[in-house]
Amino acid sequence: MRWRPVSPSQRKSKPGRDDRLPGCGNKGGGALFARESDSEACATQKTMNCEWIEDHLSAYKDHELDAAANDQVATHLVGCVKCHASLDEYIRFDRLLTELPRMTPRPELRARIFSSPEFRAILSERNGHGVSKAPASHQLPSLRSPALVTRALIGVTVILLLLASAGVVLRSLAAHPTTTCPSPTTGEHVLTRSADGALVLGAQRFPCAQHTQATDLWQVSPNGQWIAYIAAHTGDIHTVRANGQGDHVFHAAGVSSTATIALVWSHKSQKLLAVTRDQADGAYSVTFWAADPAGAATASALTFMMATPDIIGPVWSPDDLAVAYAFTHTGIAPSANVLNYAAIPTSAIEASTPLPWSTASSGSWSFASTISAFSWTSGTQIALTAALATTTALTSLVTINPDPRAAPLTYTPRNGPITAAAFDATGNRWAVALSDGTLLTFNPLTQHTTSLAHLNAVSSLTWSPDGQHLIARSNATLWWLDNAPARRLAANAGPVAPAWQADSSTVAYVDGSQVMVATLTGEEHQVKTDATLVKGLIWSPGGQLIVWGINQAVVVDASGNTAQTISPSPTEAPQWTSVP
Amino acid sequence: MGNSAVTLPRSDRRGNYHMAMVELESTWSFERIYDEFKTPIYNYIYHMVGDREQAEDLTQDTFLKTFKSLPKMDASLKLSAWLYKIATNTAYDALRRRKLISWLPWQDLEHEPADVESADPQETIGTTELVQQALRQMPPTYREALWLYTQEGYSYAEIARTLGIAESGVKMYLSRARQSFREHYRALEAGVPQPAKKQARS
Repeated sequence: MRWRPVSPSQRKSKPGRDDRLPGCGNKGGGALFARESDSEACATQKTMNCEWIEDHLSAYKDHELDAAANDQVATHLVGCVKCHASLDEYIRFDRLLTELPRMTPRPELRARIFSSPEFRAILSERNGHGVSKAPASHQLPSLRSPALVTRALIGVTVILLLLASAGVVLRSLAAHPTTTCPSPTTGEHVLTRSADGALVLGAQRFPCAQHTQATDLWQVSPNGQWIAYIAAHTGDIHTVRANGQGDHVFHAAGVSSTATIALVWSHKSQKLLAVTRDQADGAYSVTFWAADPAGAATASALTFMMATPDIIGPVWSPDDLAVAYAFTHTGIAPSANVLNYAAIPTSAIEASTPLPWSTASSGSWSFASTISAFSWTSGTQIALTAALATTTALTSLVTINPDPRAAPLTYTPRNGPITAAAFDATGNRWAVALSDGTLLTFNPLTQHTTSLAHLNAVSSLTWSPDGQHLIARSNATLWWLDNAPARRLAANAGPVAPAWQADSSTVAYVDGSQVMVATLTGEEHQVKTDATLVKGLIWSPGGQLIVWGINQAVVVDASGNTAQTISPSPTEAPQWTSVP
Repeated sequence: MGNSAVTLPRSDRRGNYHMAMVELESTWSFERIYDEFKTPIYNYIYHMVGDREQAEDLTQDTFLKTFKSLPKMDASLKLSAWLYKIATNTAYDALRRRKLISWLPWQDLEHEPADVESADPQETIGTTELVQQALRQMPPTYREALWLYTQEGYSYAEIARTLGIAESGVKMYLSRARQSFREHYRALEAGVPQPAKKQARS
C-alpha cells in the first residue's frame, strides 16, 4: 500500500492571494488524496498576456468566443497553470451559484398582493374610479410596442443532431389535475410496488384509493417529495407528491406504440425527464419529455431519431439545464458509439403556458468504441469510461468538451486495462483500478492522476457521497480507503454493492450471512443476520436502512432494531419518500 | 481516435422561446406578470437578503412598485429589466436599513480565532452564506447578469434582452461579474473584513 496522508495544513488553501493557486496540482479534484504523479504539461507557464486571457476567460468558459479567440485561450490554458486555475475557479463559482437552493414564494403571497390596499389604489387610479372588488384579470394595453412584436416574429431555431437522417419533433403534453387524497403522516415512508402493480406507501395503497397500476418505472425524486410513475393501463406519465396531493397526468397525445423507457428526476427535483421510445420504418425515435410538476405542470418534448433501441443514461448535468445520453450505433458505421447531449430549458417548462422551445445547445460525438458509463463534470464537460481498443476490456477514460470544436481528451493508462472505474458525486474524479493492481484517481478536467494504493483484482469501487472515502472490492474482500490506513471491512462480501448513508458517516454491506454497518469512527457491527438472500441495501436520508431480500424487505435502524417488515418482498428495489 | 464530431450550428443555449414571451408581455395582466416572474424575482431577492419573510415582503413591494409604474414605463423597455431593477433597489434599501440596526448574519466572523488556518470559514458560516454575501457586495449590474446566467440559465442573448443591454456588453458584464465575485468570495473565505462589514457593525 502506498498511502500518503494529507495533513490539514496541506489541504487548506489560502484564499485571497494569487500565490495560493496550485502549481501543477490536482486542481479541482478536491483535497482528499495527495498527488504523486502529475503530467509534465504543467512545467511551462507561457508568458502570453495573462491579462488578455483573464478578460476572455469568462466568455471562453461559456463557449461564447469566436473560433480564433477560442483557440488562443485554449492554447494558452495548456501551458498556463495560473489561468487554468482561474478557469477552474470560475467553473466552481458558477456551480456554487447554480446550486444555491431555488426558493419559491408561498402561495399566500399572491392573495396578499392582489388584495392589498396598495393594489386596489393602483387599480382605482388606472380605472379612474372607485376601488374594484376581487379583480379577476387586468389587461395592460399600454405596453404594446411595434418593436416588440417584430422581435417576437423571429422564428424558433431547431437544432437536430444525428449521424444520418434526423428529425426533431416538438410535442406538448396536456396536464390534467386529478383528485387529491388524504395525506400520509409527516416523515419518511417506504414506497414499493406490490405484485398486482399498485404503489404502496408504508402499508397504504398509493395514491389513496385509486386503483392505479403502475409499470416498473416508478421513481421517487431526490428530495423524496415527488413520485413519478406510469399508469399501466394508459401509458400516461403521472407525478404526485409524496403526501398524495397534486397528482398530474402527462398524456402523450398522438404518440402511438410508445413505451416509456426511463424516468429521471433532475438533481433539484424540479424537473422530470421521461424518455419514450417509438419504432417506425426500422428506426427508433426517443422522445424526452421535460415536466415541471411543481409549477404549472406543463411539459415540453423533444424527439431524436436513432438506429438502435437502447440508450445509456440519460444523465442530468449538475446545473439541471442539460441531459446527456449515449447510444450504440450499429447501422451506418460499424461499432460506432454516439454520445449526444441536449439542453432542457428551465424557463420553457416553468412557464405557465407551453412555449415553443428547442435544444438550444446540443452536441454529438461518435466513437469506434463501447461507452460503459458517463457522467457530467462540475463544469459543462462530460466524462466517459470507454473501451477504445477493444470491445471487451475498458481501456480509456475520455473527457468531452461540449464545444464541437474542441477535441475529446483521452487518457489510456499504461499499466493495462481498467478493471473497475467509478465517478465521484462531482464527476470530477474517477477512481480507477487497473489490471496490474494499481489503484488511482484521475481528474478529467486537469487530466492528472494520483496513485492511491496497490490492490489486486478490484472488481468494484464505491465512493462515499462526499467523495472522501472509497470502498474497493478485491476478490471477496471489501476495503475502506481514505487518508487513514486502509481498513478491511468484509472478508466474504457477496455481490450486493455496499451502500453509503447520505451523510457519508456510515456504510452498510453484506459479509457472509450478515448485514453489517461500519462507521467513520471505526465501529463495525451487525444489523441483521440471515442475509444470504439480500438483493439490495437502501438508506433513507434519516438513517433507516432497508434490507431488501428475496423473501422479505426489512427496515432496520443503524443499531439493528427492526421497524417494518414488508412481505412478500417487492420485485423492484423499494425507494424512500419524505413527507414534509 | 476516430472522432468524427458532427458540427452543429449554435444558437443561444436555451433556444429562442424567449421571443415568444416578448409577444405575450404586451397583453399580460397584473396576475400574469406576477405568476410569470414571482419565482425568479422572489428567488433573486431571497438570496440578496437571506430571509424568507423579508424576501416575501420585498417581493410584494417590488411587484406593487412595478404595477404602479407600468403606465409610465417606456414601451421599448423590457418588463423583466424593469422588474429586476426595482427588485435590486428594493433589496438594497432593505439591506441599508438592516445595516443601520447593525445586523448581518455573518458578523460573528470577526470573533473567530485569528488563526484562519485552523478555522475553516466555510464550515463556520456555510458556503451558501458566503455566496450570498459575495453576491450582495458585487456591483448590482454585474450581479444581475451573473445571476441570470447561473440561476435562471439564461443565454447571453436573453441576458441582453432582460437587462436591456447590447449582447456584446453581456460578455464584458459576465467577465467583470466573475472577477468581482471571485474577489469578494476569496476575501470572505479568508475572513478578511470588507468595507461593507465595517458599516454593518457601526
